[in-house]
Amino acid sequence: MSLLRAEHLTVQFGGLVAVKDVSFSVEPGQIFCIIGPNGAGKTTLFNLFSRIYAPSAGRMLLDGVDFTTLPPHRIAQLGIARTFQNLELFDHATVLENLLVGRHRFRRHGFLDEIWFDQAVWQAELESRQAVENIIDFLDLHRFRDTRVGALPYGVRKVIELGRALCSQPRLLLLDEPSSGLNAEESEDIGYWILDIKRHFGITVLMIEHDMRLMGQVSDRVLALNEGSVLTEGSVQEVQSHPQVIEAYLGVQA
Amino acid sequence: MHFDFKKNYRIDVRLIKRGSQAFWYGLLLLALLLVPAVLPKYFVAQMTFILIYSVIGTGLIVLTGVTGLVSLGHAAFVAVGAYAQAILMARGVPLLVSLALSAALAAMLGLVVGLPALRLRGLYLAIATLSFGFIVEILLAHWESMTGGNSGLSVPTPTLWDVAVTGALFYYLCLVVLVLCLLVVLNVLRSPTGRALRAIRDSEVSAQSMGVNLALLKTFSFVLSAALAGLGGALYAHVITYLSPEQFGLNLSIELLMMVVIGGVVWLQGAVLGAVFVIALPQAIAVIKDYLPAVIEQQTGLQPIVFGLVILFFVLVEPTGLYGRWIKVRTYLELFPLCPGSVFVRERHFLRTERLK
Repeated sequence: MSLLRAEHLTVQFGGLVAVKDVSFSVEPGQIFCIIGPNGAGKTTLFNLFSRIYAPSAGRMLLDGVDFTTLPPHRIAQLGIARTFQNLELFDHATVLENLLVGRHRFRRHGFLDEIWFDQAVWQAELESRQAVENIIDFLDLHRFRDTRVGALPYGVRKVIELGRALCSQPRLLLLDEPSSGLNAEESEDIGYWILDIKRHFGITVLMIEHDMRLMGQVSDRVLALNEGSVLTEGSVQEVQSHPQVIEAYLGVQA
Repeated sequence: MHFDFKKNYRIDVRLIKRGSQAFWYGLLLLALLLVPAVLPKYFVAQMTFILIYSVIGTGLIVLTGVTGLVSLGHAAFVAVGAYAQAILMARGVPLLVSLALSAALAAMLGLVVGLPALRLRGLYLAIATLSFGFIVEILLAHWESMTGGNSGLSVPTPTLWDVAVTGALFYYLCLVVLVLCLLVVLNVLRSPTGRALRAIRDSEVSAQSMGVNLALLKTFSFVLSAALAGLGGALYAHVITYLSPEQFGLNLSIELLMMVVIGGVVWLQGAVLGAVFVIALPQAIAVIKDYLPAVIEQQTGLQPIVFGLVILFFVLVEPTGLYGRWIKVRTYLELFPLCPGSVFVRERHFLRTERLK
């Protein structure tokens, strides 16, 4: 069974149809890439999956569970984590604290327990820390552990956001343009990490990407969107050579 | 200069990170315990005020500094605590029980205010809480059978096991309450809840997508903050001994907000420093007044003007407040003479991105 299924998703903002009857499914263990020119509705699609927007029509299922009407804070519990195109980190907190927020879905003590802060809460804190340290090891973030996020360069913050999503141990990871704003070297690193995420953690990745090189490096399957609807879906080569995709990106040959 | 050599994860969770911290806070506590024995009565009374304001400020810091929600109606929670305390004590409820009940009542009110406030933010929330403050003030003035209306309500002398809790004893009671409140808030802040609250302040969208229930945690923040304000108010009632609605108006709300901004709104220490400042400033003005030329001395609005100037100064020059300034001074001294002048230059952000709202 496919891990994520989108069935006839449509989003309307007033008269504007941002996403129009989009259907696709992501198989477990895949790296699934969504491409498309600006305004194609890629990020809108992501905001649907994290329930920031509600679809006007259609259904979304994760592993057979319909989450079309689930409240946004329950999405993480379901096993979906995401990053944001323009970074939504907690700027005034340290890197460690940012990553620990990623563990929020494993919080199992109530307010009163936390006020009392007994041994069980201690234990939970230490476990969270251990899990976070594993991600710090994986992404090589040791030297930034106690630095305030706002003071770090863009490239590092991008990695921290990836780390925060990983800390919630998702089944499905949504990456919104993981390489935007990064230099060639940094985006190559991101590419290797994405492959490792799939290999070591067995996490399925759904990503939006503009960098064709990174896309070619990691994707198993590609979906091309234009003006809110699906152009085509297939392997990297199939999509790259599809005439309509070339037309959407480069225009029609005169 | 000290280096924290971290050998295990517990160090980052512990409340007291290193020995020197334990020493200094221990010394502070000892000094506070000795205050009634050493200082004259008048100072003990002023110190009691500082302790009470600190309790209220701690709550406001949870709401404003940590969660990023502004409240211009905090005086209303203080008022509810104070009136509840006066009324319960008059009906013969024991002191400790009525303190707890007053805090609980304010907390319930916090819940009621917190729920609609979930949909508001920034300026709109400020206005909503502001009008809430007015509503409570007017209710207190008109519910005469319960509150005595504008003619006021006198507060019974607190007794605990038939001993009158006044003067030094009341000071100790306030000290114990403050320490307990600080412990509660510190524990909340170092737990997942505290991290989630800070996450809400910095980015609601991503907090939500990490599984933070915004409605639940914002409500919690309101309730905790209101409970502390109510508890502070209950103690406050005994100090001022006579309650009337206009004492809990907009002025008090602004004074409280000002207190935490001056103290340093993101640290709990800020609540205490701010309280010291707010209580000490009028005294300082009274002392300085004698040395001023007669024209200025006889002006009536001297105190509000000085308060206004001070808050302008802090907002413009030192937004991190007194505690933020102290951290800078401390770092400078620790690094002396190697501290470069650029260490605390305020960051400028050139990156402006569209954020999800």
